[in-house]
Amino acid sequence: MNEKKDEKGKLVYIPFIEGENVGLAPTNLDHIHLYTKWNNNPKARQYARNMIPRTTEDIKKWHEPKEGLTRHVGFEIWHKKDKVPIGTCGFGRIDWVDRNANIYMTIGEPKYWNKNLGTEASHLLIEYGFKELNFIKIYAGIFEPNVRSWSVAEKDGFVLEGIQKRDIYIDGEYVDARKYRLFKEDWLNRKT
Amino acid sequence: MPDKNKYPFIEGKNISFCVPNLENIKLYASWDNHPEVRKYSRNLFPVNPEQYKKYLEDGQDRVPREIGFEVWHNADDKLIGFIGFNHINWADRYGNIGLTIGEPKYWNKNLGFEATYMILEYGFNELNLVKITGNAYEMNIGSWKICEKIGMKRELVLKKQAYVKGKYVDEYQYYIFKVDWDQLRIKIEFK
Repeated sequence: MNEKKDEKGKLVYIPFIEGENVGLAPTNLDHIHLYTKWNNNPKARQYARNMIPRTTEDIKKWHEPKEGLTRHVGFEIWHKKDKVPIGTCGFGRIDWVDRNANIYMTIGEPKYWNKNLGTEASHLLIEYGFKELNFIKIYAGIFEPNVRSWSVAEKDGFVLEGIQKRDIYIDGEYVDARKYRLFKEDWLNRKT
Repeated sequence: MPDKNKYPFIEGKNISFCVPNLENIKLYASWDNHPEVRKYSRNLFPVNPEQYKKYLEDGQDRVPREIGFEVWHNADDKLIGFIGFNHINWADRYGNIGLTIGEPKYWNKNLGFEATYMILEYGFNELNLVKITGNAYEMNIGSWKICEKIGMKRELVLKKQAYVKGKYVDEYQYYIFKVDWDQLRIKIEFK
């Protein structure tokens, strides 16, 4: 595989947005084996809604550039100190006229959970969405049992817009989906 | 003039659902471009009939996530609109419905209500869905009034979700479960 590595044989970090402990980098097809691993990882995929095994071919296709103005912007999340990518995040279903999009994030490596890295990455992404892409609204759908995720969202100032009951079938039962929204003005006026 | 080769799939009292037909793509395009009709179906970009060709010709070797029908007026033998599921999650057993009555002279005749009844029946009794949803923007009163009349409940109000005619408007999402539909349907009949 043609991986971009430096002299020490480590994966190369090409930052697009820098944070303190993490940075957001463009998706890199050289890392396709990592995306495939995270996408299929039984722990990580449960709440990311991946019920079907995905091959590297499937994932490649998803990241391939398409014609026209994109409706999807995706990033790798890098751990700066450990110099490894630890997950993916981005905006999907971008509506440029309505100026809104769905935010998503997966920390694919369970050892990096519970370290506030998700919070940091989401802050970088939200700033990017409002200040660079000029969204007025960012929304997210998070399943009820995924407490870690929606706790982060609420801390960030996302407002619960509603609940879709028995929306999704996970582990043998239906669970609700919590629909959150964040307006640009609320994000800019939040107390830090 | 729409081609009279129609292939009924579901027959109703006043309307029927027929298989989408390549020969009618000019008519579909006329609805999606019609200044009055497209206001409520949220078409912001001009549509070329050729774009429907691809949609209709795409092979079906995979289970569809979208199922669409032509809506025909029985008595007038006329193609008046399009209806279907535009998003089906098979594992979760839910689908989202979309309906356009493309010919304005057929509005306000209860035909949208009748079409919604038929698509709910199809979704629950044939596709074995458990939950069906439908959305409408707040100014599309005709649409969400049908949802309420037929017994769907409003699940979400997405604030400032779309930009229409110079301002941000809310989007309403309605839902119904099969267990609820089983009770409601017996009370509905069509003249």
